Amino acid sequence: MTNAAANPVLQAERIEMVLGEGARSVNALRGASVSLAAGDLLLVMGPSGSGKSTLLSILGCILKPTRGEVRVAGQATVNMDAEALAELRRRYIGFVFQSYNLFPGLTARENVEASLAIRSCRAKDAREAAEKALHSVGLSHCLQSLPRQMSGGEQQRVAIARAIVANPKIILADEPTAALDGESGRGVLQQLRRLAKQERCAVLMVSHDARALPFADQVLSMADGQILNAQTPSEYLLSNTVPGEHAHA
Amino acid sequence: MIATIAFKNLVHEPARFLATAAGIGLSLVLVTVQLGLLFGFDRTISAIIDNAKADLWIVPKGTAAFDDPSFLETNQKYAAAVVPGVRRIKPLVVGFAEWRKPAGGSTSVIIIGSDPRHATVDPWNVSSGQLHDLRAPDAVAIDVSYAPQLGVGKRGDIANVEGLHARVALTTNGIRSFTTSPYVFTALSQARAFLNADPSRSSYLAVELAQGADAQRVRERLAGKLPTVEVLTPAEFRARNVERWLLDTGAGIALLTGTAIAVLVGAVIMTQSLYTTVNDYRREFATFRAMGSSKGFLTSVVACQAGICTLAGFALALLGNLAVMAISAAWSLPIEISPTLILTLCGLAALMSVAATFAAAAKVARVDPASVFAQ
Repeated sequence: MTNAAANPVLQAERIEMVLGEGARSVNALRGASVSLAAGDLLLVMGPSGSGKSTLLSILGCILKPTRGEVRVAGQATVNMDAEALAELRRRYIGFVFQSYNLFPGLTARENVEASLAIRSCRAKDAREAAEKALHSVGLSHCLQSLPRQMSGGEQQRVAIARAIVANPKIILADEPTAALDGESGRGVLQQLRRLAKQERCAVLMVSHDARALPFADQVLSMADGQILNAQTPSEYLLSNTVPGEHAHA
Repeated sequence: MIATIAFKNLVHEPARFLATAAGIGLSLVLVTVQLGLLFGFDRTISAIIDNAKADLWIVPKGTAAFDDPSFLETNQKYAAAVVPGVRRIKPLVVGFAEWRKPAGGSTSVIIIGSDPRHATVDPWNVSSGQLHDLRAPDAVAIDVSYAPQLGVGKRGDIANVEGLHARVALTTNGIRSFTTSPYVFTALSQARAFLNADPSRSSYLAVELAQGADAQRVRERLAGKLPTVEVLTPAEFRARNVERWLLDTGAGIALLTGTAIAVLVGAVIMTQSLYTTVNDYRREFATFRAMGSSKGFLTSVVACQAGICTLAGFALALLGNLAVMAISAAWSLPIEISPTLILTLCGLAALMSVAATFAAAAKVARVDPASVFAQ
């Protein structure tokens, strides 16, 4: 069970998002509401084009919704400009991307340090914090490795270290296991679960990957820009499993 | 960390980085060569005036350039000599003559004759012989870079000028004429003989002032006393010379236009190279923006990348310019690459770097951070 209703860190109410203009406009989101508290791990599932990434962009204060309200750590974002939203992201949100988005020329440690560089952290402190973050995701042995020298799972763990190094209250992960094999994917999901339960981060993960279900507290199902329901992973599995088949998203 | 991010972003793809640096380097070499040509011509055009020992010049009215002389009236030297503040009047004879090569054939030369006892326009960059060697009858000085054109190239060689013997008594290296006619230095009397001029006539009078004399006041006195001439400072004579060759001739205008175009093209190529390089890293910048980076941080990274590319390009340009200098020296090309030009180039590169930073930073500021998410 989540405790979002009691003390939400991230709250979105009746979000609508219209992309494009005129006859070509598309309602990417239609009245989506999400609430996320410290320690929650929320999984958003749905087919391609259901509005998952748009929801993630809006919750991450990267896109502004056409209608509705997003509150981050109690702050309404509706009247914030791009720079204020960027500052909000810096202070409260860590991102994990599907294709890792590591800087290819930087070592693992430098990639993590870069996250602190945008926060004007002192070089020495940034280095220590980066090493600590990489240690926490089990990558102490990869400090000097370039992304191309690491496996996909290791790269994604570097991305997680980069997301958590500034101690954000919220982690938003976009298909974090999509490019990973079974073992690497499980490792990444364990890390996200650990962040929620041990570090008390509010974690929201968008995924097609059924492997993520056991790690989530709650599953939001999306289709056509709407959140159809919020279920526990067990409920989701029951409602989406045809007898004789394995669960799939 | 900003510098590290910028540097490693660039060197991560060495081929692209080198291509950018090479583009910038070539642009800067292009600008250097063209500006070097302009400065070189400016120096060549004014070389005689710059190396002459004159506090003031008395020139026939309407003189357009040093290389385009006419004769002063005979009595003017004496009239000028008695003006208070004048220490000495040093006549100079300048004129075109036909130079006959010992092996046959001829070419046009510019004879410059001055009194070897009073330094006026002595040859410089002497490579063989002594200045007093020019006091001997029929002695002349030539520049070795013109040896093929003159048919002589070393001391003792003999040619013929307007039917008179001309014996090479001194050689120089690097005294080039703006026209196709080489300079030939000789004594005043010998020059008059070559040019078949009356012994009392001069093309110009170089004025040497008495110690402590006020140049402006002496100039006014000379102008008052000699109404049919012009009295010019060396700077004015130089400017008139440059104006004549650069602004009144097709070659000069072509050179100026070529220089302007080269600077423009070089600047555009350089800015474009920098802009494209920075633009190639949009994905990285979008990631930074999504992570919450401020525009200021992104601009710093962009500026740093532009600076690094500019420095690398500038270093390549310096190497290229060394090659140009070597070729210029070997072929006696009038390309002057001076420390001033290098500093100018440095300033230009910095300016282009700033321009590219602004252009790229504006683009980066508009990068869509949402593009980092899977669609």
